[in-house]
Amino acid sequence: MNYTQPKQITVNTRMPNRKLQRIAKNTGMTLIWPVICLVVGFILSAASGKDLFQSVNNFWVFMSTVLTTFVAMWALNTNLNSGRMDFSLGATGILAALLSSKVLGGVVSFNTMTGVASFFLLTVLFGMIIGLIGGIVYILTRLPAIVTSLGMCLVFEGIAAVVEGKSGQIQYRPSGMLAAKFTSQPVNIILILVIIIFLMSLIICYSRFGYNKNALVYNQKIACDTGIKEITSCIVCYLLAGGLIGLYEVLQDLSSTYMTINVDLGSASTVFRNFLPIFIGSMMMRYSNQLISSFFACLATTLLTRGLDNAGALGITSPISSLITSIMILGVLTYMVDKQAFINWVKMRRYVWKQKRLGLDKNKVKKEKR
Amino acid sequence: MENVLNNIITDIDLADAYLGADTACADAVGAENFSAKLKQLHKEKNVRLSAEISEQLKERKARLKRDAEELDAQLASSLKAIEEKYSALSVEERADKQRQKEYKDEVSGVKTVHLRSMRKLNNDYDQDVVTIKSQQALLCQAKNKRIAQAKGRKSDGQSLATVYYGVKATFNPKKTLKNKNLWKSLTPLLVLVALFVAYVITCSITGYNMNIDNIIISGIYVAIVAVGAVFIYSQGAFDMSLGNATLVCAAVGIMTYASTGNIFLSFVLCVFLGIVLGVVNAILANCLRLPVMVMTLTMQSVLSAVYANITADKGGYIEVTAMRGIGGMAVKWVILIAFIVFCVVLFNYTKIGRRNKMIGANATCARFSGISLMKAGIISFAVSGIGLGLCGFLYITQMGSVNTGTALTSVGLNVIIAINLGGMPTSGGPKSRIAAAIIGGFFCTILDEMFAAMGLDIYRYLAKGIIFLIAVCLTSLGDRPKRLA
Repeated sequence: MNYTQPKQITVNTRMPNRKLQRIAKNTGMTLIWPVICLVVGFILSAASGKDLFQSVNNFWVFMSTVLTTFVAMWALNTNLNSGRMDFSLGATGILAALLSSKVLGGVVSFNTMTGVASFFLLTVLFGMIIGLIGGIVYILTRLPAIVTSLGMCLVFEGIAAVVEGKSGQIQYRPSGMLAAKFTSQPVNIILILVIIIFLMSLIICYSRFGYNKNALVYNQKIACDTGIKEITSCIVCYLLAGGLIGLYEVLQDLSSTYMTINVDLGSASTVFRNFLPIFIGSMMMRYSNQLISSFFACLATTLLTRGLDNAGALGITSPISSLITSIMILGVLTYMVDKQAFINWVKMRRYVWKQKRLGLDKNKVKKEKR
Repeated sequence: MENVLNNIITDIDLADAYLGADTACADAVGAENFSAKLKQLHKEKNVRLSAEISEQLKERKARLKRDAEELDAQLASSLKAIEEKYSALSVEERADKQRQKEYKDEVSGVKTVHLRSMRKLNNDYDQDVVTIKSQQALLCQAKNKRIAQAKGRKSDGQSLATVYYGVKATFNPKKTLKNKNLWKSLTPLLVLVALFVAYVITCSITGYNMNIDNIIISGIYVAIVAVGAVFIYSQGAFDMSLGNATLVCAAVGIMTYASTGNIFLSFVLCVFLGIVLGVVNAILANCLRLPVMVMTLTMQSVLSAVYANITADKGGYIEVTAMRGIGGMAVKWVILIAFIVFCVVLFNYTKIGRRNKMIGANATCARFSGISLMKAGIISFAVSGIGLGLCGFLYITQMGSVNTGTALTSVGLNVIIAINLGGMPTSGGPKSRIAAAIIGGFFCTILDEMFAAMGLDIYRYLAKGIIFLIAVCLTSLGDRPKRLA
């Protein structure tokens, strides 16, 4: 008969279902931001005497915003987490949508599903081509991405202005068409969201490109020395970002009859709007999948924005709301950068407090000795 | 010759002998008479010396020609000797590859020796020319020294005249024209001048109303912010919040004037707020170690929201017509020039500028050399803040109003474009220059006006983008990394 050592129960003994514990922790940490933002949104709305979502239609508009934020965030994040800040994204999207509307104008009607689908596909395609051009310029010049993207932003905005012959708002299709209803349909939103998450999961999490990209993000030199091709990865990133921003522009433009041709780097603001979900997503990323964390980050920020928008009766106007959001971005950024320093400071405080509690405070001991 | 001239400087008696002056000067009147006499003598002597110098130069040039001919003859004879030596060989020996190689080596060796001798000859000639031409400077120096001594003062004999003669002696137009670095640094300025000339010509052809005032005013806004921003950019950092910070400064300035009617207080508050905003950025970047670019982007949103809040009751638009046109163009020029001089002195002649350049070149190296990154960052952002405040103030005194859609909002991104167009590398470091900011600031404005004059206003954005990319590529030609940046 074999001897089995009895299990010793100590203070450090953990629960047998560690996996379950870990899943519970990760789920909790992933959901904490959306839950906090939902609660804040509910409180602010209730205090103003409003519901967070006034109607079902309202909810789908909200979901549509989450979707567009998610798409724009990933368009930016594809390059940003590799250390490449891309200012030309907004201009890329505008130019792609403008070119596709010019190509389709007079050929296909926006009142048919074929027209909407063609606009959708062609804009994504143009977005990818323009993104690729931006990527090639970046690779050829080997300058910091922020500089080349500024130049490309000017160039793309300039091309858009030349194509249209003017800058500012332009009408690209008649109002009241099927296109306007496209993004307000729940089925379409869910369908697009599922397709995007599925495709992005495949590309980012379960493909060689995703693996290589993550390796390059961690350390470019080591990754290159192990045989990963940085240029290929970079080009795919720009293609992906271009396609996504094209999609974002379609989602934005379909609900409106106007398109805005920005000049003098005006399109760069598209980039600035999506920092908060990116930062929150980065914080949550260690507890879950990249795509899921970023989706919940988008959900959280949109919930918060909605709560703040509803709180007009409390004196939270639009400028105050944007100030709160901006300060939040700064706070989250500071936490992300100085997290370890903050943890060390808390640990030190706890240690000092414990020493004092046990009467081992150095200064106190010295005083007593005297 | 050189020894004699050196003695003239060191030995006062020799100077007198050379100049033919008396040494006696009993009192002040005597000293004055002596000085006047010496000046007259120097004048006469200088005229004679000019003729002597031209003679000496002719003689030296002839010697150079002779020496060069001798060297050429030597080369020819050496080559002939080698040719004869190898022609004496049999056909088989000449076909031998080793022999052929030896022949080629010998010929190239002789040619190299000749080339080096010629180079030495030319260098010696240049040196001698400088020495010959320096006689006038030395004579003038000796005269000055003697006059100072006669008046009971100590002097090293330097004066504007000696500097002029010195420059005249050392200036070599051929060498200057061949100096690649000089041309490289002058290129942005020459392009700016060429662009301006093209603009003037275009205006005369198309009959477009040339608006120089508009060019200057628009250029001043970008240039003044860019000049301050050079301090940040020289460290290799980017500040994206410049536009919105300027807008906030302008808003505070105009509101102060609206409530107090005191223009000086408005000016002080604008500048002070600019410095405060700069220091806040510096603290966030250096104390909290936030990445500068992301932090400034975030600050851009914060400042935009701050502006929206302080102007919320006025719908984001403040207008005080009484403020429009205060001071006129003269004040703007004075402020711009004073700020440029301040920044040039700070950047080129103090530790602050040198530290910034070193941080831009290698921050780790700079830190281990004892440079405080925090201190350097705070100073840089504060100087940049002064620029923001001044720009905000100048804008409100010109327009008498502030709005989000104005030129101030896009000034931050235009500054990056201007600095790059001015020829400063994006990575900062030792090649950072204040001049780049000024040239770039005006370049953008003239380019815009140029396209307007041609009637191709819509193409200007595209042209600006392409020119920007080309300029950045050219300025960073030697600094580009092997791997992707």
